[in-house]
Amino acid sequence: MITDRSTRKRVILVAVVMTAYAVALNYQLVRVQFGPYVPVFAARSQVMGSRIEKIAPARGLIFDRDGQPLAISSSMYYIEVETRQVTDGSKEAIALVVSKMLDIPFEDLYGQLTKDWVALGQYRIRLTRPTVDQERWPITIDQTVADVLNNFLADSEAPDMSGLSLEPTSRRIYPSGSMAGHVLGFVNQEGKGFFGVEGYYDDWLSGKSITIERATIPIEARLQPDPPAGVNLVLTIDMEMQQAAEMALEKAIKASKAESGEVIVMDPKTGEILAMAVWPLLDPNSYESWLVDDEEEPVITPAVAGTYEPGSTFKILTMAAAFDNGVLAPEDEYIDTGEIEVGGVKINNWDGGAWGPQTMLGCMQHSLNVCLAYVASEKLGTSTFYSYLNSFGIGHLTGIDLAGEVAGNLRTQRHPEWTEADLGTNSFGQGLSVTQIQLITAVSAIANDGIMVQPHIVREVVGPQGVYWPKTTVLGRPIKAETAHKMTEMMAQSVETEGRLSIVDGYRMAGKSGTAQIPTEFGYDQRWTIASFIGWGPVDDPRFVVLVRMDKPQSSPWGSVVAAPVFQEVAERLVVLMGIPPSAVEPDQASEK
Amino acid sequence: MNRNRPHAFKQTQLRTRVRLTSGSVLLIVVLMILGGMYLAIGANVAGAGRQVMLLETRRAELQRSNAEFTAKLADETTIDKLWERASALGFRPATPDDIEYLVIDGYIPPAPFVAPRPLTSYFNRQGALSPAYTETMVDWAERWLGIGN
Repeated sequence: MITDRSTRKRVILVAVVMTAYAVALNYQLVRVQFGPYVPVFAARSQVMGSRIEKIAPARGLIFDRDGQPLAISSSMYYIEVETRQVTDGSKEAIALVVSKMLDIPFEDLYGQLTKDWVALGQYRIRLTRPTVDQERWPITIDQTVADVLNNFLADSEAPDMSGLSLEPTSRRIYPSGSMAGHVLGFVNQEGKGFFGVEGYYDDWLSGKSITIERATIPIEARLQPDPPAGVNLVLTIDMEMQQAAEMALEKAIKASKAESGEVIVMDPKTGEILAMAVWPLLDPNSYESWLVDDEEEPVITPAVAGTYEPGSTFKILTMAAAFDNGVLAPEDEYIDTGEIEVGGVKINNWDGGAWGPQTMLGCMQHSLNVCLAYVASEKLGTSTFYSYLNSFGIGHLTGIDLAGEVAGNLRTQRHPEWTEADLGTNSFGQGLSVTQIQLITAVSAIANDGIMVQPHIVREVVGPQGVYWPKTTVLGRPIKAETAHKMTEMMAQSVETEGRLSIVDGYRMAGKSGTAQIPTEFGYDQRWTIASFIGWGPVDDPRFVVLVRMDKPQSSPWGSVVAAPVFQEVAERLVVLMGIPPSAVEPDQASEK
Repeated sequence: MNRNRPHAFKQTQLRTRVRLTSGSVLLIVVLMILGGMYLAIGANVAGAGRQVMLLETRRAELQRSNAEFTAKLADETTIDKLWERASALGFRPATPDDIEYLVIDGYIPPAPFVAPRPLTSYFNRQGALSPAYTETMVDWAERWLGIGN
C-alpha cells in the first residue's frame, strides 16, 4: 500500500498519463475504423499492405500444319526505377549506363531520374524515350540487353545502380518474318491482335487476364492462381507451299512490274487454305507502316478484305450454271457475231472481233464475252442466273476464320439499281465485285464434285481442356457432281489448247485466265488491268485449287500471259510437295517396293 | 485472539496481493507464450510467403528463358534458313521429273502434328500449398469444433 503522499501523486500522474494515452489511442483506433476518413485510411492500408497485380497469361502459339512455329511469345523489358531506393550516385550511374547502351541522351534520362517523384506520390517510374513526333514512349529492351543490365546489378564492383529494376512484359515474335504475314496479322504493344488469325482468334489466343491482390505486409504464403491460358493454334498453312507460292509471286511481280498480287492455294475437299501469298509483304514484327489511314494503301489480308471485279475467271460459274440447269451442253454451238445487246447495252468480245461458230468449249477457250452474255441472258435467264450465283456464295461471306472478311458486291434483280444490262456484264465477271476467297470457294465446288466447303485457316485448336479439330463444313451443293466433272473436263481441254503457259508436264490441270478492267469513278480504267488465273488439278482427283491475281501488271495486261505462269510454277511445286504422281502413272504402273 | 486480528488482516491482504501478482504474471506469461507462438507462426508464414514469391519469380524467369530459347530455335528452323542451308549444301528443289513414285501396301502416313498444350494449364495450382500456411485461428477453431465448412 502506498502511504507516501508524493509517491501516490506520482503514481496517479503516471496512471492519468497512461490512461490519457490509452484513451487517445483507442479514440484514434475508433476514428480510423469508423470515422469519416475510413476510405483514406483503407486506401493507404491497401497501398502499404498489398499490391494489386494484373496477370496476363502468355499468348497462345501459332504453328503451321507441320509444327513450324509461326507466332510465339517472348519477353521484352521496361526499365523501371524505385524512386525511394534510388540514390544520387545511382541516378547518375543509371542514366550513364542506359544512355550508353541504348543511345539515349544522358540529360534526358538524368532529368527523369532527378525529378522529385516521391513528393508526387510516385514510388516507381518507367523510363521513357522521346519519339520523332515529340511523344514519349516507354523504353523497351530485349533479353540480351536485359542480361547485360542484370549482370551490372549483380556485380559488386559495377557502379551503384540501386533502384533500377527491369519489368518483364510479353512480346510477339514472328520467326518467319514476312512469310504468311497477311495470314497471321499482328499483335500491338498492348497485346491486342489485329487482322488475320491474330485478329480473328484474339480472344482465344490471349486467354483471360486476372487481377490479384498480393499481400506484402505481411507477405502471404499463398500461391497465386494462374490465369486461364490462351489456346495454341495449328494452321492449315503448309510453310513449304507458302514459300513456293511467295517465291513464284515475287518473281512474277518483279518480272511484270505489277503493283501487287496474291496467290491462294486451297484444298477443295476440306476447304483448308494451304498457302496464301500476298505482295506487298507484311512483316508482323514491324507492322507500324501498315497502320497509316490511307485509302490508297494496300489492305491487309486482301484475299478476304479486298474486292475486285473478277473478269473472265467468273465465266466458269456462268457456264457451270448453264450446264447444271440443262440449258446447254459443252458441244452446243453458238454463232458469235462479236456483239450482243443485253438491256440496251452492247457487249463486245475482249478483242472486239467476231469468232463465228463456237461450241461452249470454244467460248471458254477464247473467253468470249458475247457468248457468255448470251448464255446468261438468253439461256439461263435472270432469276436462274442469280440463283446460281447465290448458291455459289457470291455476295455472301464465306465465314473463313480470318479477320476483316467482306462480302463483295452483287446486285441482283431485287436491287433498286439493278438493270438488265447487269445480267449481261455479270455473266463475264464485270459489274460485280468478289473477294478472292469467295471466288476460289465457288470454283472449289467444281473441283469437288459440286460440293462447296467452307474455307478455313485453323486446323487444330489446343486449349487447356484438350484438342479440337474443326470439321469440314459444307456450305452447299450449287451444282451436280456430273456438271462439276463436265466443267472440269472442259476447262482442262481449254488449258491444253489455249493455256500453254499454265500446263504442268505430266499432269492434267483445269483452269481459266481472266483479265479484268478496273472500275474508277469515271468508268473503267483504260490503262490498267487485273490479270488473274484460277486452276485446279489433277483433273482426275483435284487436290488443290490455285487462284493467282496480279494487279496492274506492266509487261502485259493479260491473265493468260502474266498470271498463268505463276499457276504453272506453283502447281509444279505442289504436286511434288503433296506427293501426287503424274496423271499417266497409275498405281499398278508405279514401281513396287 | 483480538491481538491477532490486525495481523490476520495483513496476511489476507498479502495473500490477495500474491494471488493477484501471480495471476497477473501467469496471464502475462500466457500472453507472451501466445504472442511468441503467434510471432513464430507469423514468421514462418512470412518466410514461406517469401519462398513462394521467390519460386514464382524463378518460374517466371525460367518461362521467359524457355520462350527465348523457343524463339531462337524457331528462328534457326525457318523455311528460309533451311532453304539457304540446303542450297549452300548443293541441294535444289525436286521437280516432278526427279521423283519416282512407289506404291507401298499398308503404308501409314505420319500422324498430323499436334501442338503442345498451353503451359500453365496442366494442373490447377490452387490448393497445392499446405493449408497449414493459410488456416486462421478461427478456421482452426471451426474445424476443431466441427462447425463451418
